[in-house]
Amino acid sequence: MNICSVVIHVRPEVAPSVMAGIEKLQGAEVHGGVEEGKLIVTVEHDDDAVMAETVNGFTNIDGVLNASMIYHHYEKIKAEQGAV
Amino acid sequence: MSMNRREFIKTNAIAAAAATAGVTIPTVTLAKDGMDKDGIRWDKAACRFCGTGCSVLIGTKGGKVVATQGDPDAPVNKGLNCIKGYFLSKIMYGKDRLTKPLLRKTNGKYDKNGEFEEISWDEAFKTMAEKWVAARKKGPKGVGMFGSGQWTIWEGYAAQKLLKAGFRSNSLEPNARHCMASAVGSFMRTFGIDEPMGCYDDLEHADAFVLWGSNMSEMHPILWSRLTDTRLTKKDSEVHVLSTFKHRSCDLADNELIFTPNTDLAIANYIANHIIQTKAYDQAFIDKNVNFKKTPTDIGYGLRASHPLEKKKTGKGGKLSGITFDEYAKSVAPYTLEHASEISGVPKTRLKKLAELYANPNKKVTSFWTMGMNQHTRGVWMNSLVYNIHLMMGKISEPGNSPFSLTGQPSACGTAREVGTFTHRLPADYVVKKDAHCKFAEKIWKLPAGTIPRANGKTDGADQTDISGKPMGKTMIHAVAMHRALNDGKMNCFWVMCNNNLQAAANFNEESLPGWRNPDNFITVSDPYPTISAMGADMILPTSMWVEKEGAYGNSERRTQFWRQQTKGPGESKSDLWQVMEFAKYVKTDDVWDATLLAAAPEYKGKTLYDVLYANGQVDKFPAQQITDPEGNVYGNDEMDDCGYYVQKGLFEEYRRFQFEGPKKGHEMAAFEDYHASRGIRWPVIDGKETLWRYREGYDALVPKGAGVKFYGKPDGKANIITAPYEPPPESPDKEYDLWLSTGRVLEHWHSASMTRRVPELYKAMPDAVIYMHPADAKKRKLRRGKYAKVVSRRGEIMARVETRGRNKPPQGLIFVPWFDAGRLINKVTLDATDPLSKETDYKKCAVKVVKA
Repeated sequence: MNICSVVIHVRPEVAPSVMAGIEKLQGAEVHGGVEEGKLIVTVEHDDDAVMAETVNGFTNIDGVLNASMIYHHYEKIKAEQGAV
Repeated sequence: MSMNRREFIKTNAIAAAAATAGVTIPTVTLAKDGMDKDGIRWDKAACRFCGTGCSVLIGTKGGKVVATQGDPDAPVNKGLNCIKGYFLSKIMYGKDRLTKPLLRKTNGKYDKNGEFEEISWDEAFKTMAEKWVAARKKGPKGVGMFGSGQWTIWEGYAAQKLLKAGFRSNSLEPNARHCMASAVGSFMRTFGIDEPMGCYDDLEHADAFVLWGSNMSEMHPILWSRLTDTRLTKKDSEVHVLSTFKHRSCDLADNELIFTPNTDLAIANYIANHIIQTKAYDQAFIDKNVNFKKTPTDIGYGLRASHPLEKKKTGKGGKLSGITFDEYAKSVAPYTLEHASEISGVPKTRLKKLAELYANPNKKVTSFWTMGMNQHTRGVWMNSLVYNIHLMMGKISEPGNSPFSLTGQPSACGTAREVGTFTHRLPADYVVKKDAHCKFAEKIWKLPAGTIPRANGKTDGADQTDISGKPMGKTMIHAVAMHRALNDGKMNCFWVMCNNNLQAAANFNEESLPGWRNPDNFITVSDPYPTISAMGADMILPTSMWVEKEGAYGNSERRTQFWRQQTKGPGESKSDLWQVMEFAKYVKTDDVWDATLLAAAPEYKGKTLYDVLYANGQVDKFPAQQITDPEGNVYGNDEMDDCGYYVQKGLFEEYRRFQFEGPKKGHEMAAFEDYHASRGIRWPVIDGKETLWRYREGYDALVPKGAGVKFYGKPDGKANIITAPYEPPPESPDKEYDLWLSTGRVLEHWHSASMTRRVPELYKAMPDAVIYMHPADAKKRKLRRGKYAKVVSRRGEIMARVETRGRNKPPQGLIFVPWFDAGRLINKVTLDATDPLSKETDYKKCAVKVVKA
């Protein structure tokens, strides 16, 4: 299981276009923050390499000023389906 | 509601991000309790990477770090981590972690040309002790240790005792010599006390930011995110970026100044001249708080004495002499706007905009710099030229007005500088040049007077005697000189710990490698991974790293931070602290101290260095105890288990005595426990309170009432404005070597990448160093983007791919090559010229050509 969340700092006026750029990256999902110019993004993918490519790719998108990692969970587990 | 574990973790990840950014996402709330039940133990630690000093929450499960989170309670990073933070949970789990001591052998015996074979720790230290004792007989420079700004505070302190007191040798240097020695030199000359007066709160208080040779966007991303926040939310705020090439930080710049290498000296002098010509300076501040000085000029480039450039120089050293304000004004008068623009290549409008910003009394300005200014053959001068500007305007030591030298390593400040693991230093800014300082250290360390070698080898006017029976002689030797001494066979034992110096040091071909492989020399490297340095050594010691031990770091804003041991190191790996102290058990005072010294302390005769330095009734004073956090979780402490006492606490409390018992004020730290209970505390800590801005009444408790501003590092309470001219660099492009080469770092990798390159994904993101160059320069040389080319200097060459569209966009005439790539050692190409004052290498400029591979 490899999940992380990222805050992506953008100039608010370009947030919608940046959001589209982010969602083109594999495993990335935007959950909010468009109005504030601070996009709340998660990255989740089974392939670690894809995951890293996405994480490292954010700052290459035009309009992105900064990308900050907030939470990262990386655990090799067989059964991930148990309820909590 | 039931959700599966993956969804649950994802929800938490979103909630944490939203909370940090101050964004509301209605359907999500943080389920921390649930996380606790998930079997993950959370605790704080300082990040392993840069000098920002972010706090990270470490999630451990089954003895392994499985999760990390930016620490929401941390004042530095407020819940954020940079992209490198994504890899923190993985840096300890590279497949090639070293787990056993290794020694080069042939037929079961040590052989410099043999293959690495596994040995026991006992054999490792026996072998090392034999070599070290023999080499030490040659003189105090016969042995040497090269430590790190990534050492924990107690590791640096223990190593300093081992070398300076135990082995009676000042051959101790940190890799911080390569990164901040110029900053230190200037702090001491200007203020008489090391480290910035301001703090990160300046990021919110300033109206304008000026970057002088710092790519904060990639190198200090969390500080950059705070700066970005201010720029986007504060009306009329501005960002000025000075650099020799365009980089990511320029994206936010309102004023971008791309200058010809070394001409920052002229730009700073132009700004000072502008301030004087427009009479914008703060006369009252200057009259009360400033002295004017000049420094010797034409002082050479720190190359070998045989180098033609060194023979040509007419000046020497850095002895300051007093001048008047008028003389100062005259010294900067030649730096007119026209002259500065002509020499630097920066358009006049941009230079003027920058000068007017500094000269505007209503704008609060924070200046930031890192290696662009420090790795400079006139680095000490250049640091001071920026202080000159701030001091003339009185823009210093108050919220938002801050000349701020940033550091690259997590504890370059906390360990290398504050503990003083340099050849010339002792803890808390005391120096081996002063007999009285050495005596003070000897008293605290319970050693006979005269133990520590003085810089000139004399105490009370008489020669100190060495184990050889000869006088000690001159004892100081800096980092670059150490490699030269190894090369020349004058230093025969070298221990490199917690850094990758064979990759990092300049002029690999002519100095470093021949020095390490010199048959007379025995090189030991302690590292978690088989780095270039480890592979170039004769013995490798496996190291437990970061949260595999209890630790303490000090960051750029004077913040000291502690962490508990979270996990155990793999195999037989041991922390640097254990290695230093254990090695001390294998050497006796009689092996390295002369008879007169032993006669002065007969109780130490026949004792091991461990007995004398660590089992001294002080370091071993605090009994073993259980380590717990406020929630009752229990943590290990391997050093405590091995030694039977609380080693870290004993070392820290003994170190702290330097801050309280000597004549120097302003270094005071809090008690050991206070740091475990906090997210770091900024020194000086007076009556339990940290200091945010030094030298100003109301912010700094050490400034007496009514004094206003007092630069108390200097006896008269005044700072120095030190004038220095523009001088050319040692090597500039010419007909054959027609390009400038600048080296540096990239976001994905940290320094030599010995940790970050171990993470497969990071490796994939930035696998190899490339040659960043201007498209026109590439075209002229018939080079194509993505194709290999050779970078060639007078000293060596490397091959790498050409990149003309990357994040770094050099102007015509300059290339940039990162140095993280062990497969493409750019330091085969660089020149080992140093600042003659700080002895710091200039990695930012030399002449090269680029040709088709």
